[in-house]
Amino acid sequence: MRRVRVVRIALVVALLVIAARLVDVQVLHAGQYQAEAAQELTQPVTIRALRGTITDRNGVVLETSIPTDMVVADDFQIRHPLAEARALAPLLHLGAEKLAGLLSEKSGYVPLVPNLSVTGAKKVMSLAFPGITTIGTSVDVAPAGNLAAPVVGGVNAAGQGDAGLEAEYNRLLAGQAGQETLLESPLGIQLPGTPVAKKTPAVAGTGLQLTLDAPLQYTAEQDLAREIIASHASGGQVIVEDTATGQVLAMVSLAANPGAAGSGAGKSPSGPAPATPPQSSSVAPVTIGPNGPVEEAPTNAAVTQLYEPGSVFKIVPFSAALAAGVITPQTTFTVPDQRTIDGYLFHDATPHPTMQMTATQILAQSSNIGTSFITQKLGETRLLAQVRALGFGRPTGLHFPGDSPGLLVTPAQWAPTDWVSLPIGQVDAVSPMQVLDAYSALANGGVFVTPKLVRATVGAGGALRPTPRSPSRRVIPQAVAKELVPMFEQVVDNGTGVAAAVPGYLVAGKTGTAQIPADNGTAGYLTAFDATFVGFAPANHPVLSAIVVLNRATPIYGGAVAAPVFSKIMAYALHRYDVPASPGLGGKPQATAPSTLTALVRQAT
Amino acid sequence: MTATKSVARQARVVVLLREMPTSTILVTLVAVLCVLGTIMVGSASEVVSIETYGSAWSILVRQCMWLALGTLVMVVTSRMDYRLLRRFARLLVLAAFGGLLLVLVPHLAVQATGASRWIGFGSFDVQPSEVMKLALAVFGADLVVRREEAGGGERTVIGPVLLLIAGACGLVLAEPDMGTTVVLGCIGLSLLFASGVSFRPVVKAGGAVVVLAVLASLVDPYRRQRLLSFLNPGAHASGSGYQVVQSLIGLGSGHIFGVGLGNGTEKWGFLPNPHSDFIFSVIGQELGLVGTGVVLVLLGALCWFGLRVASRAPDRFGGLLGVAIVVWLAVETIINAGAVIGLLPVTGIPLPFISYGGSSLVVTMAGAGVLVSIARREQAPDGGLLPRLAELRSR
Repeated sequence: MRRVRVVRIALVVALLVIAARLVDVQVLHAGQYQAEAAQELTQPVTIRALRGTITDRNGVVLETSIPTDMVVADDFQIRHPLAEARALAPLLHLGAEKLAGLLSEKSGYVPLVPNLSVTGAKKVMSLAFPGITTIGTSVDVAPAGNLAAPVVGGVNAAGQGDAGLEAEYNRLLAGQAGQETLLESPLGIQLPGTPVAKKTPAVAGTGLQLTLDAPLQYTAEQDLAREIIASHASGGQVIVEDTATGQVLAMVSLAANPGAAGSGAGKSPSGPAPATPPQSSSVAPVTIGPNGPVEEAPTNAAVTQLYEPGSVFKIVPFSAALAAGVITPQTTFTVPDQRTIDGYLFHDATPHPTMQMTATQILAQSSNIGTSFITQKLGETRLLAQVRALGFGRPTGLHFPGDSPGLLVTPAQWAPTDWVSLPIGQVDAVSPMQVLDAYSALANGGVFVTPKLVRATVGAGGALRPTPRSPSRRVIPQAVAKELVPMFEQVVDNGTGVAAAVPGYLVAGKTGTAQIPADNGTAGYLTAFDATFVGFAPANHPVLSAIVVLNRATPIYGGAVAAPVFSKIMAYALHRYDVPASPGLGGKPQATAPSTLTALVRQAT
Repeated sequence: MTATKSVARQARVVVLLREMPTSTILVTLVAVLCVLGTIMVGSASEVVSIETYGSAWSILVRQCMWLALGTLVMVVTSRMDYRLLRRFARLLVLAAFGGLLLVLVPHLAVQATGASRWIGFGSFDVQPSEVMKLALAVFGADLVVRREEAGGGERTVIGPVLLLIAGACGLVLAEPDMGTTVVLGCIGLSLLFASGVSFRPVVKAGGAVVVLAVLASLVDPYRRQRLLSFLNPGAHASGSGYQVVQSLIGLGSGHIFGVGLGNGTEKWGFLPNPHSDFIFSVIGQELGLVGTGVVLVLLGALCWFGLRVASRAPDRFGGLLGVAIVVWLAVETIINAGAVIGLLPVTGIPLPFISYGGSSLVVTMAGAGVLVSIARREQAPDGGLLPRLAELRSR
């Protein structure tokens, strides 16, 4: 049959074509296809680095990252979903029925628990169920709860710091993510018999040792929280600073939580007042958090929130006038209780007959009219120069996200009444941190020290690397500072700030009560006030400075709501660091005075 | 000395193959192909099997059951005198047509990926178009022989056969199953071709079928997509050309000796149907050019010796039936391998004896059994050397 031969030839030709193509694909172009096969199998996997730990100055952990394991099931390999679920459920803290469902999803990759403790994961793996594996993960925890939360900040789901110091020092804290290359199927299944192709280990992040002191931070938060509840304030801030080094020992930003049950807003704080004033240790702690009457503010308002500070700003005209020689502490002025300037009526906080007042009395009684006479003698140029000299209008240098320079009045915005309003703190907007820095400079004899929150970085193995000394500069002549400190002592001794007194210690400081500007863009003011007390102690040998701000409190006065909180916190701090009492006040016996807090803190603990 | 020895040894092999009963060769080839196929189905199906049935072995176990059934069928068909088939030819073709019609009844058929090709019996699905391949070969060969014996001229042969082809192809095309349509067309046309009728009407009919097939491809978006992606797989790499690209990656990455049995990566979800349509690619990846070459040589040899059976057949019916069965196996091999290597469009035709496939394997083995049955009755070529040698020895 000739035609069968034709079929035979056609068959041979077809098979030869196929064979030729096979040689072309499997031999001549094999390299190219091998590369493509390898490429489509390769899956780079990122190994998260453990974030650096943030501690207080004594190593109390505020936020840290701990290694955990994610438990994953390749449910195609699960033979007995129900039996294995029953064995795994108690280890994974999941319901057996829910787990059995997860184990029979038939998807190949089922994450069961995202963050199981490493010891827990070991127990899971010891069961040796085929298809159950663990992947190294980490979880960020704050063992001290939300203590100093607005300062420490937070970490987002991608493991990147997104607020506070976590954001500011993210590059340091984050470490270096590692990478490994796995061979995986399109379903994400690691292929059997294919080892990890390449691995770069992760480098853990560098830790931060903050200047904060956890017990002081806690006390400051509690004392401020109680006052916010008692005075129905909308919020408040506290900063405690080591004047010589600029180290921030406590930094608190709280907000009232009117939505929470048991909120003090609009109600009397608690039942009948106890017969004797309670010791701070016997008072039940205020719950600070979403469920409490007060919670940590969403941002670190002590640094990032601008406000018109009120009379605490009088440090500007008084230091400038003394430096310029236009007044001495004893210079006397005839002061009425009100004065009309450019059609606007200015008045003192309380009515009084026209009287003779020394500059010291004007400051102690916080007379706005008296201050206006001093400013008149000083002149606008020297006034504005001193605003900038004391650190207002520039960032504090704290290294904190949102460290604002403040909003200073510009020549274009200058109003005819501003020379009266500005010295009493009702023109420029500044942050509580900036106000405290100015008073710390006064406490240092006129030397401005840049504040700092990070005391040292903590490398691998716990090696401490102290941060460089804060830069400093003279902003008030030493002689002027010497004259000015006793004037501020009078504020606490017999002026508006008597409530700030700390038994056994000389305290210098200033009250401030400022009307809050309307936020609708008009020049008007609300009938709501920010109350401030800022000061330092011991005045004869300053070691600690602090500022307390209460927003929209009732009563409104700094001397009434902020000064008592200052007193409580400062008293605690002075005792905590064993600061020698001021001479002649009968407090703690005077010892050979250590000059700086660093020395004091070394003694304590 | 050694050179002459080796030449002599080669000559002896050629003579042995030439003189060896073709039935033995065929049975050996089919057995080797089935064993190789079963091993490769096991390797290629493990991932799909876990995905579908929860066990890596489910598909392999099913394949073994089908193989056992196929072996039984092959033993029966090879032992039986193929001439008996002429009596059952009508019954067989009627059953096949009946099955094809049933498939088109909406609620009876099992549907998969947009086509209805199966009838379900419990956990076993049967594909009537597979049965039609054997039915067409048997009934077609019988028809040609009967018409020739009736002596009504070529027209009385060509007409009915073309009608038969058209009927079978039309029903299968309606499923739709383009690949099987082509196989059926080739089986039918091979009968006419081998019968020796004049070329022209056959070529005309064949041309018409090709034109119709191309037109049908262009009308239906599913088939057009496959055809277009075949012409330019890179442009459709993420869509319908994806499977061809993955198939080539599998073949190419296997290189000459392969990555080793079971070590293939394409079956892990890259390559669709790794155990059926694309098993040739899995063989290429795991066993390399050596594997694909062996498969190709085995199937080629089966066809080669199948054609020898056809030419040595004792009667005309056997000769025509032999050619038809060989063309059936050859066309399936070429279409499947051609698709895997990216030279032909992907149509879902199994690789004979190798691919996973229930009714397809059983029917293919039935066909192979028929071929063996013809071979058992082959007439030795021109007296034959071995019988003559035996004669000489006996003297």
